[in-house]
Amino acid sequence: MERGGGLVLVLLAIRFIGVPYTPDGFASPHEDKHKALSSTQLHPLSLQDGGDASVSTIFTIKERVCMAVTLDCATLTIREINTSIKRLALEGEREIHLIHPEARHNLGVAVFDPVTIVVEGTAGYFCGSMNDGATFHVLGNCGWSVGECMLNGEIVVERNAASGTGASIRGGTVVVKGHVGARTGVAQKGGLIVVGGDTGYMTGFMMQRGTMIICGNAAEGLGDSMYSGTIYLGGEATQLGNDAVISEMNEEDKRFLSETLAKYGLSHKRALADFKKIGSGGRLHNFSKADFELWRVAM
Amino acid sequence: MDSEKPLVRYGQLWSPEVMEDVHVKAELGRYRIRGFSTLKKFISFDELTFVPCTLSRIPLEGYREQCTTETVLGTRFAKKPIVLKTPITIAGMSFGALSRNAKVALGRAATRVGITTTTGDGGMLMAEREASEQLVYQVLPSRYGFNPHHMRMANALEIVIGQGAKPGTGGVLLGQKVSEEIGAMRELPAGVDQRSPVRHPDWTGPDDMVVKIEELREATDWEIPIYVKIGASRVADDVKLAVKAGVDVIVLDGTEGGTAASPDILMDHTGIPTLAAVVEAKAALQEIGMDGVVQLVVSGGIRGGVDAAKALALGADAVSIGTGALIALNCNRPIYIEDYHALGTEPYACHHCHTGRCPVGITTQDPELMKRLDVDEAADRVANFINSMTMEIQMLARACGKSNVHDLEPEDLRALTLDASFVTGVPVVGTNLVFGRPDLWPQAHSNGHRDEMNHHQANGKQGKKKGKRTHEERTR
Repeated sequence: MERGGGLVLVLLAIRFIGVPYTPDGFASPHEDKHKALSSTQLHPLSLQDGGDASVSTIFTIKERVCMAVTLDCATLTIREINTSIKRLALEGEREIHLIHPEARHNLGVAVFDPVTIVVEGTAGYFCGSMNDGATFHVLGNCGWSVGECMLNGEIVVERNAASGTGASIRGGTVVVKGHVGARTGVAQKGGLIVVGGDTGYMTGFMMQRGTMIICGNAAEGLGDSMYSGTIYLGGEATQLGNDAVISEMNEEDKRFLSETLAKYGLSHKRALADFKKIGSGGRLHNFSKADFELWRVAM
Repeated sequence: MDSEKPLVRYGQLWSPEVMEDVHVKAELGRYRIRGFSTLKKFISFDELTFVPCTLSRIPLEGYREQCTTETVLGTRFAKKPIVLKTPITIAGMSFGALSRNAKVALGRAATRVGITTTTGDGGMLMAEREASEQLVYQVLPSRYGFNPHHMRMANALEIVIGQGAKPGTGGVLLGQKVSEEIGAMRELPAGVDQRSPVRHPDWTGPDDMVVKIEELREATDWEIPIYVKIGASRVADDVKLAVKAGVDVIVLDGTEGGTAASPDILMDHTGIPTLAAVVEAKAALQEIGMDGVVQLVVSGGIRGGVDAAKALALGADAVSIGTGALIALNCNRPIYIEDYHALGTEPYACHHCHTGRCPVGITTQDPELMKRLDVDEAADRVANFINSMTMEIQMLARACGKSNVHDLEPEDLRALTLDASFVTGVPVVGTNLVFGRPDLWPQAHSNGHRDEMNHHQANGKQGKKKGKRTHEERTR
């Protein structure tokens, strides 16, 4: 293949794959020049072949290409992946792609830097958990408790997620465009959870603050024992939880729903008019013997 | 005796206490909630005695020879295990259950004597982090106030499955103690009767806990120890599952464990006594070859150095005190007596922590009541109490010929009752008889180092620890 044609192919590969990173740092001896490149300067970089670790040298142009760093999860331990993410973020990298995630658990735990992490596949448990300010984009499914105890940041899952989605988040946004499992947003303490599909049993259990949007249906126990917070439900609830009550939507609610769904490309999932607003009835805030039938389950 | 006045006879089944309980519930319409700990009598460390050295063993000279108390927790995986100067820690008690002054006083005392304090169900109070040089951060089902940044500021983490006062149940904090400050920390409306979930929000069983522990280790760069706290229930199974899940330290809280507010039926009718729990846990660790790899901390009714020494002899690596530390602060001290009366109680009998009207300013959020607890004086008292415990443990260890408190062993004990012998595998006083079923708890009813000693004897070497005999030798 002629050099020019090969260069084009390599540039395309770089555009979509990004620059691989090994835990020991860039393989290139020119890594210190990486950030100082002008838009027209050619820069030699080394690519590590994921199979036998052979190195081939190619050239790339920094301008107008996605210079995201990639981590090949298939060749790294979780410790190496997470250490690399944190080190790269500290060094100023702003986009990291995790390829071959293969549903590994604990990807991107406790990241406190404003970095974007793209999981090119399916993640296991606790993806993006305890994060403060990072952005995660999961292109596949997610296991249990994606984003649990998050303080700030954004997580978007393109497909489905399992139980405990957004468990106990205190801020930030967790979006799952498909379905989610049971106990979504359990003990939510702030932030926003958006689900494009259905949600499972006991969603919003003991919700304290924050907002949840469910475009699809909800299984039993929606909003059970909520202290406060708001759930917008587009579909039907099999059964509302203890002390969860439906109230009127106002213009502000509608505007918020419209803008949020549009932002995440979910406007087509459910008509605005279908949504119901669910909150705490307040009867479980302080024990009352007159409400025994309610309290016998809740206490 | 006045022959015209009939003798008043109170029943055992329908005692005055039971009748009063029915009267109260007939008004309340729910179960009763109170603080402190169980008021019932359980089998306890009082039913054991030490058999110190006399002629057959050589004691250590109490006033000259060293008896080491240093204790290390978290040696299994952590890069930075916890090092205690004495085998005592202060148990998890929340800011919310306790006042700010109480938490700070405990922190200062712990720093002074070289031990840890533990946060509680409500998150980390920065004032406690500043006061306590070694702070254990609890990860509870409620996650009230849980903050990953605070987690990274901690010296150890403690996953709470439950506590001895109410195993299998979530927490409660009545509305009078959910002040504006507490409500803000816990992201709750002020004044609500806070109910905590019993299950963790993001994981369910022991197989999930494996992943959760890895998550916490990843979040803290594998540096600090991970504890798990369990209310003593099915101890053997729970210990084995926790070890398999990858913990560094097990904190086992017997039914005598304290609480700021729990249903009183749980305090009195759930869980097993600490005496039995420590034996069962030690046997479980030995059975799976993790004795000495995973450390065991026991709590629940540890009243002083004697209880602590007996717990160490039965297999604990350290003890944790909660109620004892609060009493050292001033709990139940006969001051402000009129306020005890206003609660319907007396000093030495007060268990009204749940009301938020603590007369001595410990378990309250009322600023006026809290002022009654001077932080520095209270810290002095707690430090003095812990130092007294350390001296008591050392005294007993030296008397038993031990130069390290961790060398105390079941052989240093005798049971004063058949029940105690049955539960602990320790011979009854005056006999060499053990009343129990060695087949059920073979490790509990034998010398824990038997295999090691047999190995050394087979190779012509002396046993690692002096004076240790096998069960067969003791009962021959």
